[in-house]
Amino acid sequence: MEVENKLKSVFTDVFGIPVSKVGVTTKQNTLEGWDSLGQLRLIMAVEEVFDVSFTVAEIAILTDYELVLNALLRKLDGR
Amino acid sequence: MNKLAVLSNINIDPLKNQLQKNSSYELYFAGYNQWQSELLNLNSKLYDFCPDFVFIYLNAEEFKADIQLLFLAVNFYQNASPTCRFLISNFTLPPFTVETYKVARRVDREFNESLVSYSKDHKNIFILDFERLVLLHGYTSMFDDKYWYLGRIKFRNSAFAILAEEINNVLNCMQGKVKKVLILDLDNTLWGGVVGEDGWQGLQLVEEGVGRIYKDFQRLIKQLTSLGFVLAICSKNNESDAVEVFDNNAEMVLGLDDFVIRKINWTSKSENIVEIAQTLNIGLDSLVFIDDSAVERELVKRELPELIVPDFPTDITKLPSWFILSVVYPYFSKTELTLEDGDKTAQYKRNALRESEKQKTSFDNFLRDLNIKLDVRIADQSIYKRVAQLSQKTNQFNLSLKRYSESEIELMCDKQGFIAITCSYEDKYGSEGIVGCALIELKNKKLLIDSFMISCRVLGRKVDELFLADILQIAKKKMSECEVIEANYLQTAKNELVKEFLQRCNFISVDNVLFSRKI
Repeated sequence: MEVENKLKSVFTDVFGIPVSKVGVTTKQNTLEGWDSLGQLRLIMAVEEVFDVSFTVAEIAILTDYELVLNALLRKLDGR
Repeated sequence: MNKLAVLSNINIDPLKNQLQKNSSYELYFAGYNQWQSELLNLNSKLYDFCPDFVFIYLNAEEFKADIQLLFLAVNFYQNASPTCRFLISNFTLPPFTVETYKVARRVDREFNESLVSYSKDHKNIFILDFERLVLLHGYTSMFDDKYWYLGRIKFRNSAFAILAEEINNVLNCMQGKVKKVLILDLDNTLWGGVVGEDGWQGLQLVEEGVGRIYKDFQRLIKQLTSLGFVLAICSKNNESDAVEVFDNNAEMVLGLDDFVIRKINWTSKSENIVEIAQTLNIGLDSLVFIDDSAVERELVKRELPELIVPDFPTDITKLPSWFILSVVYPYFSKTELTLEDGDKTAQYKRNALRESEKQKTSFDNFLRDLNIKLDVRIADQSIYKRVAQLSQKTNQFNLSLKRYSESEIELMCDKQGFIAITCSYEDKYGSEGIVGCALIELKNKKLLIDSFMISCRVLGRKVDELFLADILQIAKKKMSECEVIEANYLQTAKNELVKEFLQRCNFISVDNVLFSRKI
Protein backbone atom coordinates (compact mmCIF):
# COMPACT_ATOMS: atom_id res chain seq x y z
CA MET A 1 0.00 0.00 0.00
CA GLU A 2 2.77 2.34 0.93
CA VAL A 3 4.60 1.55 -2.30
CA GLU A 4 1.42 2.16 -4.25
CA ASN A 5 0.83 5.57 -2.67
CA LYS A 6 4.41 6.59 -3.25
CA LEU A 7 4.22 5.45 -6.86
CA LYS A 8 1.01 7.39 -7.38
CA SER A 9 2.63 10.53 -6.11
CA VAL A 10 5.49 9.98 -8.56
CA PHE A 11 2.94 9.86 -11.39
CA THR A 12 1.34 13.02 -10.02
CA ASP A 13 4.68 14.75 -9.90
CA VAL A 14 5.85 13.69 -13.35
CA PHE A 15 2.62 14.12 -15.33
CA GLY A 16 0.89 16.80 -13.30
CA ILE A 17 -2.34 14.84 -12.77
CA PRO A 18 -4.23 14.47 -9.45
CA VAL A 19 -3.61 11.33 -7.36
CA SER A 20 -7.23 10.31 -7.81
CA LYS A 21 -6.64 10.01 -11.57
CA VAL A 22 -3.74 7.57 -11.14
CA GLY A 23 -4.67 3.87 -11.25
CA VAL A 24 -5.30 0.87 -13.45
CA THR A 25 -6.69 3.09 -16.20
CA THR A 26 -3.50 5.14 -16.40
CA LYS A 27 -1.91 3.98 -19.62
CA GLN A 28 0.78 5.31 -21.89
CA ASN A 29 -1.43 5.47 -24.98
CA THR A 30 -4.18 7.44 -23.25
CA LEU A 31 -2.35 9.77 -20.90
CA GLU A 32 -1.20 13.04 -22.40
CA GLY A 33 2.42 13.69 -21.61
CA TRP A 34 3.31 10.02 -21.33
CA ASP A 35 5.29 10.06 -24.53
CA SER A 36 8.82 8.77 -24.97
CA LEU A 37 10.25 11.66 -22.99
CA GLY A 38 7.51 11.22 -20.38
CA GLN A 39 8.45 7.56 -20.15
CA LEU A 40 12.04 8.47 -19.34
CA ARG A 41 11.04 11.11 -16.83
CA LEU A 42 8.76 8.60 -15.14
CA ILE A 43 11.40 5.89 -14.93
CA MET A 44 14.04 8.37 -13.74
CA ALA A 45 11.73 9.48 -10.96
CA VAL A 46 10.75 5.91 -9.96
CA GLU A 47 14.39 4.84 -9.92
CA GLU A 48 15.30 7.79 -7.74
CA VAL A 49 12.40 7.54 -5.29
CA PHE A 50 12.61 3.76 -4.77
CA ASP A 51 16.34 3.43 -5.32
CA VAL A 52 15.89 0.72 -7.94
CA SER A 53 17.20 0.30 -11.47
CA PHE A 54 15.33 -0.98 -14.52
CA THR A 55 17.07 -2.46 -17.53
CA VAL A 56 16.56 -1.03 -20.98
CA ALA A 57 14.40 -4.04 -21.93
CA GLU A 58 12.21 -3.61 -18.86
CA ILE A 59 11.72 0.08 -19.47
CA ALA A 60 10.40 -0.58 -22.98
CA ILE A 61 7.45 -2.65 -21.76
CA LEU A 62 6.40 -0.56 -18.73
CA THR A 63 3.51 1.01 -20.60
CA ASP A 64 0.82 1.34 -17.95
CA TYR A 65 0.49 1.99 -14.24
CA GLU A 66 -0.09 -1.63 -13.23
CA LEU A 67 2.91 -2.88 -15.20
CA VAL A 68 5.11 -0.28 -13.50
CA LEU A 69 3.70 -1.16 -10.09
CA ASN A 70 4.17 -4.92 -10.55
CA ALA A 71 7.68 -4.57 -11.92
CA LEU A 72 8.51 -2.31 -9.03
CA LEU A 73 7.06 -4.69 -6.43
CA ARG A 74 9.11 -7.55 -7.92
CA LYS A 75 12.28 -5.47 -7.63
CA LEU A 76 11.55 -4.47 -4.05
CA ASP A 77 10.61 -8.06 -3.18
CA GLY A 78 13.91 -9.36 -4.41
CA ARG A 79 15.80 -7.50 -1.70
CA MET B 1 7.69 37.78 -14.51
CA ASN B 2 11.27 37.39 -15.71
CA LYS B 3 11.91 35.20 -18.71
CA LEU B 4 14.48 32.44 -18.75
CA ALA B 5 15.52 30.55 -21.88
CA VAL B 6 17.43 27.27 -21.63
CA LEU B 7 19.76 26.06 -24.38
CA SER B 8 21.71 22.83 -24.52
CA ASN B 9 23.39 20.34 -26.80
CA ILE B 10 21.74 17.41 -25.01
CA ASN B 11 18.24 16.72 -23.76
CA ILE B 12 17.71 18.54 -20.47
CA ASP B 13 13.95 18.80 -20.73
CA PRO B 14 13.27 17.37 -17.23
CA LEU B 15 14.90 20.53 -15.89
CA LYS B 16 11.66 22.30 -16.81
CA ASN B 17 9.67 20.58 -14.06
CA GLN B 18 12.37 21.21 -11.50
CA LEU B 19 12.56 24.90 -12.38
CA GLN B 20 8.79 25.24 -12.22
CA LYS B 21 8.75 23.73 -8.75
CA ASN B 22 10.54 26.49 -6.93
CA SER B 23 10.97 29.53 -9.10
CA SER B 24 8.80 31.92 -11.00
CA TYR B 25 10.35 32.37 -14.41
CA GLU B 26 8.52 32.19 -17.67
CA LEU B 27 10.45 29.40 -19.39
CA TYR B 28 11.49 28.60 -22.91
CA PHE B 29 13.38 25.39 -23.69
CA ALA B 30 15.02 25.27 -27.09
CA GLY B 31 14.85 22.03 -29.04
CA TYR B 32 17.44 19.32 -28.72
CA ASN B 33 20.89 20.56 -29.74
CA GLN B 34 19.44 23.76 -31.21
CA TRP B 35 21.52 26.10 -29.09
CA GLN B 36 23.67 27.41 -31.91
CA SER B 37 20.95 28.04 -34.46
CA GLU B 38 18.70 29.59 -31.82
CA LEU B 39 21.44 32.12 -31.02
CA LEU B 40 22.44 32.83 -34.61
CA ASN B 41 19.10 32.91 -36.37
CA LEU B 42 17.38 36.26 -35.90
CA ASN B 43 14.05 34.57 -36.64
CA SER B 44 14.42 31.82 -34.06
CA LYS B 45 11.98 31.29 -31.23
CA LEU B 46 14.63 32.49 -28.84
CA TYR B 47 14.57 35.98 -30.39
CA ASP B 48 10.77 35.86 -30.30
CA PHE B 49 10.76 34.91 -26.65
CA CYS B 50 13.09 37.80 -25.80
CA PRO B 51 14.46 36.40 -22.53
CA ASP B 52 15.93 38.35 -19.62
CA PHE B 53 18.23 35.43 -18.90
CA VAL B 54 19.64 32.61 -21.00
CA PHE B 55 21.05 29.51 -19.36
CA ILE B 56 23.38 27.41 -21.50
CA TYR B 57 24.48 23.91 -20.58
CA LEU B 58 26.81 22.30 -23.08
CA ASN B 59 27.87 18.77 -22.35
CA ALA B 60 31.63 18.55 -22.86
CA GLU B 61 31.56 14.98 -24.22
CA GLU B 62 29.15 15.89 -26.97
CA PHE B 63 30.61 19.32 -27.67
CA LYS B 64 33.02 18.49 -30.44
CA ALA B 65 33.69 22.03 -31.59
CA ASP B 66 35.97 24.89 -30.66
CA ILE B 67 34.71 26.76 -27.62
CA GLN B 68 35.13 30.01 -29.53
CA LEU B 69 32.02 29.01 -31.48
CA LEU B 70 30.03 29.32 -28.30
CA PHE B 71 31.44 32.77 -27.58
CA LEU B 72 30.82 33.91 -31.15
CA ALA B 73 27.20 32.77 -31.01
CA VAL B 74 26.64 34.47 -27.66
CA ASN B 75 28.29 37.67 -28.89
CA PHE B 76 26.08 37.62 -31.95
CA TYR B 77 22.96 37.34 -29.81
CA GLN B 78 24.19 40.05 -27.46
CA ASN B 79 24.65 42.48 -30.30
CA ALA B 80 21.00 42.11 -31.15
CA SER B 81 19.81 41.95 -27.58
CA PRO B 82 22.36 43.71 -25.37
CA THR B 83 20.49 43.61 -22.07
CA CYS B 84 19.99 39.87 -21.95
CA ARG B 85 22.19 38.20 -19.35
CA PHE B 86 23.81 34.81 -19.90
CA LEU B 87 24.46 32.13 -17.37
CA ILE B 88 26.79 29.57 -18.89
CA SER B 89 27.59 26.28 -17.21
CA ASN B 90 31.22 25.29 -17.15
CA PHE B 91 32.30 21.99 -18.61
CA THR B 92 32.82 18.61 -16.98
CA LEU B 93 34.05 15.48 -18.68
CA PRO B 94 33.39 12.07 -17.14
CA PRO B 95 36.22 11.02 -14.84
CA PHE B 96 37.03 8.10 -17.12
CA THR B 97 38.74 8.52 -20.47
CA VAL B 98 41.20 6.57 -22.55
CA GLU B 99 44.48 8.37 -22.04
CA THR B 100 47.87 8.00 -20.47
CA TYR B 101 48.49 9.10 -16.92
CA LYS B 102 51.25 11.42 -17.95
CA VAL B 103 49.10 13.41 -20.34
CA ALA B 104 46.10 14.05 -18.10
CA ARG B 105 45.47 17.18 -20.08
CA ARG B 106 41.76 17.50 -20.15
CA VAL B 107 39.86 19.52 -22.66
CA ASP B 108 37.27 20.60 -20.10
CA ARG B 109 39.93 22.42 -18.08
CA GLU B 110 41.02 24.43 -21.10
CA PHE B 111 37.41 25.19 -21.93
CA ASN B 112 36.72 26.35 -18.42
CA GLU B 113 39.71 28.66 -18.38
CA SER B 114 38.56 30.33 -21.59
CA LEU B 115 35.09 30.60 -20.17
CA VAL B 116 36.41 32.39 -17.09
CA SER B 117 38.29 34.96 -19.13
CA TYR B 118 35.33 35.38 -21.48
CA SER B 119 33.08 36.10 -18.52
CA LYS B 120 35.59 38.56 -17.07
CA ASP B 121 35.62 40.53 -20.31
CA HIS B 122 31.83 40.60 -20.73
CA LYS B 123 29.73 41.98 -17.95
CA ASN B 124 26.58 40.14 -19.02
CA ILE B 125 28.19 36.71 -18.93
CA PHE B 126 28.07 34.74 -15.71
CA ILE B 127 29.32 31.24 -14.98
CA LEU B 128 27.33 28.49 -13.36
CA ASP B 129 29.93 26.37 -11.62
CA PHE B 130 28.64 22.96 -12.61
CA GLU B 131 32.06 21.47 -12.00
CA ARG B 132 31.68 22.34 -8.33
CA LEU B 133 28.33 20.55 -8.18
CA VAL B 134 29.83 17.44 -9.74
CA LEU B 135 32.70 17.47 -7.25
CA LEU B 136 30.23 17.94 -4.42
CA HIS B 137 27.71 15.25 -5.35
CA GLY B 138 29.89 12.92 -7.38
CA TYR B 139 29.79 12.19 -11.08
CA THR B 140 28.17 8.76 -10.79
CA SER B 141 25.42 10.05 -8.56
CA MET B 142 24.53 12.76 -11.08
CA PHE B 143 24.97 11.02 -14.41
CA ASP B 144 23.54 7.78 -15.80
CA ASP B 145 24.30 6.57 -19.31
CA LYS B 146 21.08 4.58 -19.45
CA TYR B 147 19.01 7.71 -20.03
CA TRP B 148 21.55 8.91 -22.54
CA TYR B 149 21.18 5.85 -24.74
CA LEU B 150 17.41 5.78 -24.35
CA GLY B 151 16.62 9.46 -24.74
CA ARG B 152 19.69 11.69 -25.01
CA ILE B 153 19.43 12.59 -21.34
CA LYS B 154 22.63 12.45 -19.31
CA PHE B 155 21.52 13.45 -15.85
CA ARG B 156 19.72 11.46 -13.23
CA ASN B 157 16.62 12.93 -11.65
CA SER B 158 18.52 14.18 -8.62
CA ALA B 159 20.97 16.05 -10.86
CA PHE B 160 18.14 18.05 -12.40
CA ALA B 161 16.99 19.13 -8.94
CA ILE B 162 20.56 20.11 -8.01
CA LEU B 163 21.00 22.05 -11.23
CA ALA B 164 17.65 23.84 -10.88
CA GLU B 165 18.53 24.94 -7.36
CA GLU B 166 21.89 26.27 -8.47
CA ILE B 167 20.34 28.15 -11.39
CA ASN B 168 17.90 29.74 -8.97
CA ASN B 169 20.63 30.74 -6.56
CA VAL B 170 22.83 32.32 -9.20
CA LEU B 171 19.97 34.13 -10.93
CA ASN B 172 18.83 35.51 -7.57
CA CYS B 173 22.34 36.66 -6.94
CA MET B 174 22.58 38.29 -10.40
CA GLN B 175 19.41 40.22 -9.59
CA GLY B 176 20.73 41.29 -6.21
CA LYS B 177 18.08 39.24 -4.41
CA VAL B 178 20.35 38.35 -1.52
CA LYS B 179 20.16 38.91 2.22
CA LYS B 180 21.95 41.75 3.97
CA VAL B 181 22.44 40.81 7.60
CA LEU B 182 23.43 37.58 9.36
CA ILE B 183 22.23 37.41 12.96
CA LEU B 184 24.03 34.95 15.21
CA ASP B 185 23.40 33.29 18.51
CA LEU B 186 26.46 32.86 20.79
CA ASP B 187 26.54 29.78 23.06
CA ASN B 188 27.07 26.55 21.10
CA THR B 189 26.85 28.54 17.89
CA LEU B 190 29.86 30.87 17.77
CA TRP B 191 31.70 28.82 20.39
CA GLY B 192 31.22 25.45 22.08
CA GLY B 193 29.78 25.56 25.59
CA VAL B 194 27.75 28.03 27.62
CA VAL B 195 29.68 31.07 28.80
CA GLY B 196 27.39 31.65 31.78
CA GLU B 197 28.36 28.22 33.11
CA ASP B 198 31.76 27.41 31.65
CA GLY B 199 33.22 30.93 31.86
CA TRP B 200 35.15 32.60 29.03
CA GLN B 201 38.19 30.41 29.73
CA GLY B 202 36.20 27.16 29.61
CA LEU B 203 34.72 27.41 26.11
CA GLN B 204 35.47 25.05 23.26
CA LEU B 205 37.39 27.32 20.97
CA VAL B 206 40.94 26.31 20.07
CA GLU B 207 42.83 25.13 17.00
CA GLU B 208 42.55 21.47 18.06
CA GLY B 209 39.65 19.05 18.30
CA VAL B 210 36.06 20.24 18.53
CA GLY B 211 37.18 23.77 19.32
CA ARG B 212 38.57 23.99 15.79
CA ILE B 213 35.05 23.65 14.37
CA TYR B 214 33.96 26.89 15.98
CA LYS B 215 37.16 28.67 14.99
CA ASP B 216 36.66 27.62 11.38
CA PHE B 217 33.04 28.69 11.56
CA GLN B 218 34.07 32.11 12.85
CA ARG B 219 36.66 32.45 10.07
CA LEU B 220 33.97 31.81 7.47
CA ILE B 221 31.67 34.36 9.05
CA LYS B 222 34.51 36.87 9.03
CA GLN B 223 34.92 36.30 5.29
CA LEU B 224 31.29 37.24 4.75
CA THR B 225 31.96 40.72 6.11
CA SER B 226 34.61 41.26 3.45
CA LEU B 227 31.95 40.52 0.83
CA GLY B 228 29.91 43.41 2.17
CA PHE B 229 27.49 41.51 4.39
CA VAL B 230 26.75 42.63 7.90
CA LEU B 231 26.68 40.76 11.23
CA ALA B 232 24.58 41.10 14.34
CA ILE B 233 24.27 39.17 17.62
CA CYS B 234 21.01 38.03 19.14
CA SER B 235 21.57 35.85 22.17
CA LYS B 236 20.25 35.09 25.62
CA ASN B 237 23.15 35.75 27.97
CA ASN B 238 24.26 38.23 30.54
CA GLU B 239 25.79 40.86 28.31
CA SER B 240 28.85 41.21 30.54
CA ASP B 241 29.57 37.44 30.28
CA ALA B 242 29.45 37.58 26.49
CA VAL B 243 31.53 40.73 26.23
CA GLU B 244 34.14 39.08 28.42
CA VAL B 245 34.61 36.34 25.84
CA PHE B 246 35.24 38.89 23.11
CA ASP B 247 37.55 40.93 25.35
CA ASN B 248 39.55 38.17 26.97
CA ASN B 249 39.44 34.97 24.94
CA ALA B 250 42.40 35.22 22.56
CA GLU B 251 41.01 32.39 20.42
CA MET B 252 38.08 34.49 19.20
CA VAL B 253 38.34 35.23 15.48
CA LEU B 254 35.42 37.64 15.49
CA GLY B 255 35.64 40.81 17.54
CA LEU B 256 32.82 42.91 18.93
CA ASP B 257 33.66 45.40 16.17
CA ASP B 258 32.55 42.92 13.53
CA PHE B 259 28.95 43.18 14.69
CA VAL B 260 27.01 46.30 13.87
CA ILE B 261 24.45 45.64 16.54
CA ARG B 262 24.26 43.41 19.60
CA LYS B 263 21.16 42.21 21.39
CA ILE B 264 22.51 40.24 24.32
CA ASN B 265 19.73 40.04 26.88
CA TRP B 266 16.93 37.82 28.15
CA THR B 267 14.02 39.23 26.15
CA SER B 268 12.51 37.13 23.41
CA LYS B 269 14.62 36.73 20.32
CA SER B 270 11.85 37.70 17.95
CA GLU B 271 11.49 41.07 19.70
CA ASN B 272 15.23 41.58 19.52
CA ILE B 273 15.32 40.69 15.84
CA VAL B 274 12.53 43.13 15.05
CA GLU B 275 14.54 45.83 16.83
CA ILE B 276 17.64 44.93 14.84
CA ALA B 277 15.68 45.32 11.61
CA GLN B 278 14.29 48.66 12.74
CA THR B 279 17.62 50.05 13.86
CA LEU B 280 19.28 49.10 10.60
CA ASN B 281 16.22 50.28 8.69
CA ILE B 282 15.81 47.11 6.64
CA GLY B 283 13.05 44.54 6.23
CA LEU B 284 12.89 41.24 8.09
CA ASP B 285 13.18 39.51 4.74
CA SER B 286 16.75 40.81 4.47
CA LEU B 287 17.86 38.91 7.57
CA VAL B 288 19.07 35.38 8.26
CA PHE B 289 19.17 34.05 11.82
CA ILE B 290 21.41 31.19 12.97
CA ASP B 291 20.81 29.51 16.32
CA ASP B 292 21.71 26.01 17.52
CA SER B 293 18.57 25.71 19.64
CA ALA B 294 15.66 24.12 17.81
CA VAL B 295 13.23 25.62 20.33
CA GLU B 296 14.46 29.17 19.78
CA ARG B 297 14.35 28.66 16.02
CA GLU B 298 10.76 27.44 16.17
CA LEU B 299 9.68 30.36 18.36
CA VAL B 300 11.29 32.91 16.10
CA LYS B 301 9.92 31.27 12.95
CA ARG B 302 6.42 31.27 14.37
CA GLU B 303 6.58 34.96 15.30
CA LEU B 304 8.43 36.12 12.19
CA PRO B 305 7.52 33.92 9.26
CA GLU B 306 9.32 36.09 6.71
CA LEU B 307 12.65 35.65 8.48
CA ILE B 308 15.03 32.99 7.15
CA VAL B 309 15.99 30.57 9.93
CA PRO B 310 18.03 27.66 8.55
CA ASP B 311 18.13 24.35 10.43
CA PHE B 312 21.32 23.95 12.42
CA PRO B 313 23.36 20.77 11.74
CA THR B 314 22.91 18.03 14.36
CA ASP B 315 26.41 16.74 13.64
CA ILE B 316 28.52 19.68 14.77
CA THR B 317 31.50 18.67 12.60
CA LYS B 318 29.33 19.61 9.63
CA LEU B 319 28.96 23.20 10.85
CA PRO B 320 31.48 24.85 8.51
CA SER B 321 30.41 22.98 5.35
CA TRP B 322 26.74 23.34 6.25
CA PHE B 323 27.25 27.06 6.62
CA ILE B 324 28.77 27.42 3.16
CA LEU B 325 26.28 25.16 1.38
CA SER B 326 23.04 25.99 3.17
CA VAL B 327 23.57 29.62 4.15
CA VAL B 328 26.26 31.30 2.04
CA TYR B 329 25.35 29.95 -1.39
CA PRO B 330 21.59 30.54 -1.15
CA TYR B 331 21.57 33.80 0.80
CA PHE B 332 24.93 35.55 0.88
CA SER B 333 26.57 35.35 -2.50
CA LYS B 334 27.67 38.05 -4.88
CA THR B 335 28.54 37.96 -8.52
CA GLU B 336 31.04 40.78 -8.09
CA LEU B 337 32.05 43.41 -5.61
CA THR B 338 31.62 47.18 -5.73
CA LEU B 339 33.68 49.71 -3.82
CA GLU B 340 30.93 50.27 -1.27
CA ASP B 341 30.77 46.58 -0.34
CA GLY B 342 34.07 46.48 1.53
CA ASP B 343 32.93 49.15 3.93
CA LYS B 344 29.44 47.82 4.74
CA THR B 345 29.98 47.05 8.42
CA ALA B 346 31.39 50.49 9.07
CA GLN B 347 28.51 52.08 7.18
CA TYR B 348 25.86 50.33 9.23
CA LYS B 349 27.73 51.10 12.43
CA ARG B 350 27.90 54.79 11.63
CA ASN B 351 24.20 54.58 11.02
CA ALA B 352 23.51 53.08 14.42
CA LEU B 353 25.61 55.92 15.94
CA ARG B 354 23.63 58.53 14.06
CA GLU B 355 20.39 56.90 15.20
CA SER B 356 21.44 57.21 18.82
CA GLU B 357 22.43 60.87 18.36
CA LYS B 358 19.12 61.57 16.74
CA GLN B 359 17.38 60.59 19.92
CA LYS B 360 19.54 62.92 21.98
CA THR B 361 19.06 66.23 20.18
CA SER B 362 16.37 67.95 18.22
CA PHE B 363 16.08 66.89 14.60
CA ASP B 364 17.25 70.20 13.13
CA ASN B 365 20.22 70.36 15.44
CA PHE B 366 21.00 66.78 14.61
CA LEU B 367 20.99 67.54 10.89
CA ARG B 368 23.07 70.68 11.22
CA ASP B 369 25.48 68.87 13.43
CA LEU B 370 25.90 66.02 11.01
CA ASN B 371 27.39 68.43 8.49
CA ILE B 372 26.05 66.58 5.48
CA LYS B 373 27.82 67.08 2.16
CA LEU B 374 26.31 65.71 -1.02
CA ASP B 375 28.19 65.29 -4.25
CA VAL B 376 25.65 65.12 -7.06
CA ARG B 377 26.95 64.53 -10.54
CA ILE B 378 26.27 62.91 -13.88
CA ALA B 379 27.43 59.31 -13.74
CA ASP B 380 30.00 58.00 -16.17
CA GLN B 381 30.37 54.42 -17.30
CA SER B 382 32.54 53.37 -14.38
CA ILE B 383 29.65 54.09 -12.00
CA TYR B 384 26.92 52.16 -13.86
CA LYS B 385 27.56 49.01 -11.85
CA ARG B 386 26.75 50.83 -8.61
CA VAL B 387 23.70 52.47 -10.22
CA ALA B 388 22.45 49.03 -11.25
CA GLN B 389 23.08 47.69 -7.77
CA LEU B 390 21.04 50.52 -6.25
CA SER B 391 18.21 50.02 -8.71
CA GLN B 392 18.05 46.32 -7.91
CA LYS B 393 18.34 46.55 -4.16
CA THR B 394 16.43 49.67 -3.16
CA ASN B 395 12.88 48.88 -2.07
CA GLN B 396 11.79 51.68 0.24
CA PHE B 397 12.80 54.99 -1.26
CA ASN B 398 12.33 53.98 -4.87
CA LEU B 399 10.04 55.97 -7.14
CA SER B 400 9.28 53.52 -9.92
CA LEU B 401 10.82 50.24 -8.74
CA LYS B 402 12.30 49.76 -12.19
CA ARG B 403 15.15 47.27 -11.91
CA TYR B 404 17.98 47.80 -14.34
CA SER B 405 21.11 45.83 -15.03
CA GLU B 406 24.41 47.53 -15.70
CA SER B 407 24.12 47.01 -19.43
CA GLU B 408 20.56 48.31 -19.54
CA ILE B 409 21.75 51.52 -17.90
CA GLU B 410 24.61 51.74 -20.32
CA LEU B 411 22.20 51.34 -23.22
CA MET B 412 19.80 53.95 -21.85
CA CYS B 413 22.51 56.53 -21.25
CA ASP B 414 24.61 55.96 -24.36
CA LYS B 415 21.88 55.35 -26.90
CA GLN B 416 18.52 56.46 -25.62
CA GLY B 417 19.25 59.89 -24.22
CA PHE B 418 18.82 59.15 -20.54
CA ILE B 419 21.03 60.83 -17.97
CA ALA B 420 22.12 58.97 -14.87
CA ILE B 421 22.78 61.19 -11.88
CA THR B 422 24.35 59.91 -8.71
CA CYS B 423 24.48 61.29 -5.21
CA SER B 424 27.39 60.59 -2.88
CA TYR B 425 27.00 61.28 0.79
CA GLU B 426 29.44 62.37 3.44
CA ASP B 427 29.00 63.62 6.96
CA LYS B 428 31.10 64.06 10.07
CA TYR B 429 31.17 60.31 10.64
CA GLY B 430 32.55 59.51 7.23
CA SER B 431 31.66 58.87 3.65
CA GLU B 432 28.86 56.54 2.61
CA GLY B 433 29.80 56.50 -1.06
CA ILE B 434 27.06 56.63 -3.65
CA VAL B 435 23.72 56.43 -1.84
CA GLY B 436 21.28 57.66 -4.45
CA CYS B 437 20.71 57.81 -8.15
CA ALA B 438 18.24 59.07 -10.67
CA LEU B 439 17.65 58.34 -14.31
CA ILE B 440 16.16 61.31 -16.09
CA GLU B 441 15.17 62.37 -19.57
CA LEU B 442 14.91 65.90 -20.93
CA LYS B 443 12.18 66.15 -23.54
CA ASN B 444 9.76 68.83 -24.78
CA LYS B 445 10.69 71.31 -22.05
CA LYS B 446 10.06 68.63 -19.48
CA LEU B 447 12.26 66.90 -17.00
CA LEU B 448 11.01 63.31 -16.82
CA ILE B 449 12.14 61.24 -13.87
CA ASP B 450 12.28 57.59 -14.85
CA SER B 451 13.90 56.33 -11.67
CA PHE B 452 14.77 57.98 -8.40
CA MET B 453 16.07 56.10 -5.43
CA ILE B 454 17.96 56.64 -2.23
CA SER B 455 19.53 53.98 -0.05
CA CYS B 456 17.65 53.45 3.21
CA ARG B 457 20.89 54.07 5.10
CA VAL B 458 20.60 57.85 4.70
CA LEU B 459 16.84 58.28 4.82
CA GLY B 460 15.31 60.76 7.21
CA ARG B 461 18.08 63.33 6.75
CA LYS B 462 16.51 65.41 3.98
CA VAL B 463 18.91 63.91 1.48
CA ASP B 464 15.91 63.39 -0.82
CA GLU B 465 15.13 67.13 -1.02
CA LEU B 466 18.74 68.17 -1.44
CA PHE B 467 19.33 65.55 -4.11
CA LEU B 468 16.24 66.65 -6.06
CA ALA B 469 17.33 70.29 -5.91
CA ASP B 470 20.72 69.36 -7.36
CA ILE B 471 19.09 67.29 -10.10
CA LEU B 472 17.02 70.33 -11.08
CA GLN B 473 20.17 72.42 -11.34
CA ILE B 474 21.85 69.88 -13.58
CA ALA B 475 18.72 69.71 -15.74
CA LYS B 476 18.53 73.51 -15.99
CA LYS B 477 22.11 73.65 -17.19
CA LYS B 478 21.40 71.07 -19.88
CA MET B 479 18.07 72.51 -20.98
CA SER B 480 17.42 76.04 -19.76
CA GLU B 481 13.86 76.22 -21.12
CA CYS B 482 12.81 73.27 -18.98
CA GLU B 483 9.49 74.13 -17.34
CA VAL B 484 7.85 71.07 -15.87
CA ILE B 485 9.08 68.12 -13.89
CA GLU B 486 7.24 64.82 -14.04
CA ALA B 487 7.63 61.61 -12.09
CA ASN B 488 5.82 58.30 -12.51
CA TYR B 489 5.22 56.75 -9.12
CA LEU B 490 4.57 53.04 -8.67
CA GLN B 491 3.03 52.44 -5.28
CA THR B 492 4.07 49.30 -3.40
CA ALA B 493 3.75 48.08 0.18
CA LYS B 494 7.14 49.54 1.02
CA ASN B 495 7.61 52.81 -0.84
CA GLU B 496 4.92 55.02 0.72
CA LEU B 497 7.64 57.46 1.76
CA VAL B 498 8.30 58.39 -1.85
CA LYS B 499 4.73 59.64 -2.10
CA GLU B 500 5.16 61.66 1.08
CA PHE B 501 8.34 63.09 -0.38
CA LEU B 502 6.64 64.10 -3.65
CA GLN B 503 3.84 65.80 -1.74
CA ARG B 504 6.33 67.48 0.58
CA CYS B 505 8.07 68.88 -2.52
CA ASN B 506 4.77 70.28 -3.88
CA PHE B 507 4.24 67.75 -6.63
CA ILE B 508 0.60 67.42 -7.64
CA SER B 509 -1.13 64.30 -8.83
CA VAL B 510 -4.69 63.38 -9.70
CA ASP B 511 -4.22 59.64 -10.00
CA ASN B 512 -1.39 58.99 -7.53
CA VAL B 513 0.72 57.76 -10.44
CA LEU B 514 1.80 60.77 -12.47
CA PHE B 515 3.17 63.49 -10.21
CA SER B 516 4.16 66.84 -11.68
CA ARG B 517 5.04 70.39 -10.78
CA LYS B 518 6.46 73.52 -12.31
CA ILE B 519 10.16 74.07 -11.96
